[in-house]
Amino acid sequence: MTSLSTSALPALAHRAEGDRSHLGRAVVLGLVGVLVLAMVVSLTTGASGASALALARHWLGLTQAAPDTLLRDQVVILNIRLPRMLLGMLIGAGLAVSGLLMQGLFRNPLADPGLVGVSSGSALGAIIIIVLGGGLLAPVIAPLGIFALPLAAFGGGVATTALLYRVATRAGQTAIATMLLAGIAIGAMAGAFSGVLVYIASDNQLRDLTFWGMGSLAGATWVKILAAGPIIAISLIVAAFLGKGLNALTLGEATAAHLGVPVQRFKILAILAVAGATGASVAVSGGIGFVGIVVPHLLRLVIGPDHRYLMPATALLGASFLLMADALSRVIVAPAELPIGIVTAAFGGPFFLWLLLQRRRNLAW
Amino acid sequence: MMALRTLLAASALALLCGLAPASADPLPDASRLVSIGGSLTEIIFALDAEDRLVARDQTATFPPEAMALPDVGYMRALAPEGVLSVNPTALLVLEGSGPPEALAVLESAGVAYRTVPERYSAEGVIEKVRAVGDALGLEAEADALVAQLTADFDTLAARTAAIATPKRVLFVLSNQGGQIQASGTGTAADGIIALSGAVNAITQYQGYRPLSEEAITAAAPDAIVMMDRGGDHAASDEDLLAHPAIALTPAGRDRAIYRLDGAYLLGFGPRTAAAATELADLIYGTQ
Amino acid sequence: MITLSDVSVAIDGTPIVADISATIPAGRLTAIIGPNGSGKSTLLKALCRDLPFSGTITLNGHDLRTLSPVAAACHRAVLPQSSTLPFPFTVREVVAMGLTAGRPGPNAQRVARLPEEALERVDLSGFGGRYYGALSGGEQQRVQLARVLCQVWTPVLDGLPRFLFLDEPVSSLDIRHQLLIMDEARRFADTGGGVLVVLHDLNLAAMYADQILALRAGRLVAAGAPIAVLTDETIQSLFEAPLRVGALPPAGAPFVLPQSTLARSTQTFRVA
Repeated sequence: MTSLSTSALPALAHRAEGDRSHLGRAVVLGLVGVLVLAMVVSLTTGASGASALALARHWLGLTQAAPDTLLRDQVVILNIRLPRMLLGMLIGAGLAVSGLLMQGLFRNPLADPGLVGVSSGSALGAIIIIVLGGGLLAPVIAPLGIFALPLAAFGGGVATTALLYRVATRAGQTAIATMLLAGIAIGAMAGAFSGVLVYIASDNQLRDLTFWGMGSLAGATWVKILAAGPIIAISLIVAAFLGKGLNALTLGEATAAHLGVPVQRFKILAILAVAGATGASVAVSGGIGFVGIVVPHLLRLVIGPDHRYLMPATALLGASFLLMADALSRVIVAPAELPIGIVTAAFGGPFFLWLLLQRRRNLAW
Repeated sequence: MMALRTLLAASALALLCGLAPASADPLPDASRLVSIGGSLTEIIFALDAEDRLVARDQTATFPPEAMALPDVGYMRALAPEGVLSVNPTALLVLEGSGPPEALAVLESAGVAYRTVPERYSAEGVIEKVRAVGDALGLEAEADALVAQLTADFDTLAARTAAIATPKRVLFVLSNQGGQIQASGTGTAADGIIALSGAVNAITQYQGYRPLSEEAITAAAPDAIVMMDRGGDHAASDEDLLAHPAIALTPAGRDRAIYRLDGAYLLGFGPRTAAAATELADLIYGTQ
Repeated sequence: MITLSDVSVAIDGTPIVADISATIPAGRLTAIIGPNGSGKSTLLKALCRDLPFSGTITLNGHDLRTLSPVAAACHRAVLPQSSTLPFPFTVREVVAMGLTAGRPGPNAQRVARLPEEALERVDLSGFGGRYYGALSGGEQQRVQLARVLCQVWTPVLDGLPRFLFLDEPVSSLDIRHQLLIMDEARRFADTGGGVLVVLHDLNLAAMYADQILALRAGRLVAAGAPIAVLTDETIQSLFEAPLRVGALPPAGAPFVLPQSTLARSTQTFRVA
C-alpha cells in the first residue's frame, strides 16, 4: 500500500516522494479510454441484432442496407441506444460525483446523497409532480413541460438541504454531526410524505410511479436527455472547479477558510451541485444505488484522495460503470431486461464489503 | 438473419398490398405479434392465432404453451430493444403497459401497437376479445368466442341471481408480518368478487392498500380469497387464522379461506367465467 | 502589522474576551499567555475570523472583516492545535495543501519543490511518501507546520509582512522538536514576518518572545517585553499559583519555576 507505483511518465526527472499527481493524471487519461470503450460497448450491445457498424458503413456509402432493416436499425441505434448511452453517462457521472462531493463536504468516506436526505427530498419532488401534477398543481406545472419532473426533483433536493442548513448551521459554521442526524430525520420525513402521496395516488398515478421508480435506463429518450441533461451537466461543470477546495476542506472548515477557501459559498455551491446531479438523475431514472459510494472509493484506493484528480476520474469511471452495468442489464435476461439498480447493487454490494475488509487490513491506510 | 428479415418484410409488404382490410380496423401487419398482458395472450390462443405470436410478457403464464415463447419482461417495464429483437410487426398491449416512452420508440421503429382496454367485468372480457379479433382481422373467430363466453357469463349470472343473501368477501393480496394488504374497489379482485355473486367487504377505498386490524373486524367478511402463488408469498392458512383481527371475523371462525391461481382469478380473459363460477362454488358450495 | 482595538468576543452571549487593544508588529514574535479559560484561543480564533467579534482588527491596514478569504490567506497562515484527516493523504499531499491560495512567494517556479523544503525545515525529510494518518501526533503537528510554512513561504510579500498564527504549537512535541518549531517561528520573525503564538510554557515564551500578552478572564492584564511581564507579582496573580521568576546567567533572561506548596521541602529538585 505504501509503494506508490511510478509508471506513466518516466520522462519527468523530478518526482517528489508522496506526490501522486502523475498517477492521477495517468488514471484520468486511462479512464477516458475506458469510457470510450464503454460507449462502444453500449452502442453495440443489445437484444436486437442492430449493428452500429453496419449503420455507420451505410451512412458513409460503403454498403447499401436493405430499407426495412435500415429503419429498424436506425431507430435502435439513434432512438434507443444513443439516448440511453448519453443518459447513462450523465447519470453515472452525476451520481458518482454527487457521492464524492458529499464525502468531501462531510469529511466522511461513507457519505452519500442518500445519507443526508437529498435523494429522499428529490424523490419527494418527483412524486409530488406525478401525484399532484395533474390536478392541484397543474397551472404551475403545465408551463414547465418536460422540465417539471427534473426541476421538482432538483427543488426537492435543494429544499431538503436548505432545511438541513437551518437546522445544522449556526454563526456560519455547519456542525457535521448535527447535519448527519438532521439529514436522517429529514430523509425520514420526506420518505413519510412520499408514502402518504403514494397512498393517496390513483391507479394511473401508481402506474406512473412504478414506471418512474424502476431504477432503469430503459425509458431513455431524447426528451429526457433534454430535460435532465442540462441540470446534470451544469452540476458536473461546477463540481469540476471544486477539487482544490475539497482537499482543503478535509482539514476541517476552519483550516480550509484559513487556506483561502470561501467556505460558506463553497459549501452552497457544492450542495447545489449535489442537489442538481442527484435530483435530475432521480427524476429520470428513479433510484440507482451504490454508484456514489463504490466509484469514489475504488479510485481513492488507486490514486489517493486528491480531489483535483479524483473528481474527473470519478465522473469518468461513474459514467463507464453505469454504461457497463446497463449493457449487462440488457443482455443478461434478453429479450427482457433487469432493472439496472439490481446490477449495480449486485456488483456494488460485494465490492463494497471487500473494500471494508481491505480497509480493516490496512488500518493505517 | 438480415436476409430472413428482408424476406419477412417483403412478404409483409406483399400481404399489405394484396389484401384489403377486412373490416373495422385491423393492425396493418399482425403476422409477427408480441402480446403484452396475460389475458391478451390467452385470447390469442383461444382464437387459434398463437402461430402469430413471437413473444409474450412476464404475466402470460397460460396456456402452458405460451411459456415456451420468449419473455420480453414485465408489462410495465418494457425495454424497447428487447421487444424489437424478436422482430415483431405489431404489438398488442393491455391498458397500463409501458412505459409510454418505450411504446413511442417502438412505434417510431415501425412496430404498430394497439392498446386493449382493461375493465374488470364480463363486458370488459367481451370487449377485450372483440378488440383482439378486430386488431388481428379475426372478427368471425372473435364472434364465435364471444358467443361462447356470453353463454358462460349468462349461466353464471343465472346462478348468482339466485343467491338470496350475498356473502361478504375480503380479497387479501398479501399478509406480510401480520400486515394485511386487501383489495378495495376498482380492482380485478373487486370485479371477480362481484361476478361470483358476492360483495366486496371493503368499499371504503380504491386499489390495494394495507388494512388496519379494526377495519378488518369491521368489514366482517364471510370468506377470504387469496391468490395461490405457491410458497413464496403464501400466508399459510394458519398464519392468517392466527391474525387477531381475522380470527374475529366470520371467515376466520369458519376457516373460509379460498385460493385460486392469480392469472386465472384476476386475468379477466377467456377463463374468467370459469374462475368466477369456481369461486362461487367455493363461497356458496356447489349446486 | 496587526492592530486590535476594543476587541470583544462572546460565545452564546457569554463574553469570553473583552475590550482588548494591542498591536502585533511585524519582525517580532508575540506570545499570548494565560491560565486555562482565559480566552487565549478565543482571541486567536477572532483573529482567524473563526468567531465573530466586536471592535476592530486590522491586518496590514485592511479591515479584517472585509478582507476576502484568499487575500487573508496571503497575509497570514494558521497552525491549528491538531488536525485529523478523513482520507488517506500522503504527507506531501497535506503539505502541498498549503499552496491552496497560491501565493507562497513571488517566485512561482520554486513552488513545485516547496513541500520538500518545508518538510526539511521541520525535520521530516523523506517523510513525503508516508501516510499522514500513520504518523505520530508530534509528527503530524510538524507536517501541519510545514503546510503552514508553505502558505506564507516568504515572510514578506509585495513589501508587506505576513503573519504566522500558532495555537499551542509545541504541546505534543518532545523537547528537541519544541525548540525546532520555536526556532522556525523565531526565524520567520527575524526575516520580517510577524508571529503570534499561544503558549502554555512560560519559559518558551520567555526564551523566544519579543512581546508577551497576558490574558486573564478575557482581559489583557499585562503586555510588554518578557522581562516586564514575567514578574513574580504579575504571573502569581495571573495563574493564582506560587510561581517564582529567576534570571538565567548569560543574558539575564527570565525563567519561571513552579513551587508547589505540597512539594516536600527535603526533595532535591532535579532538572529533567
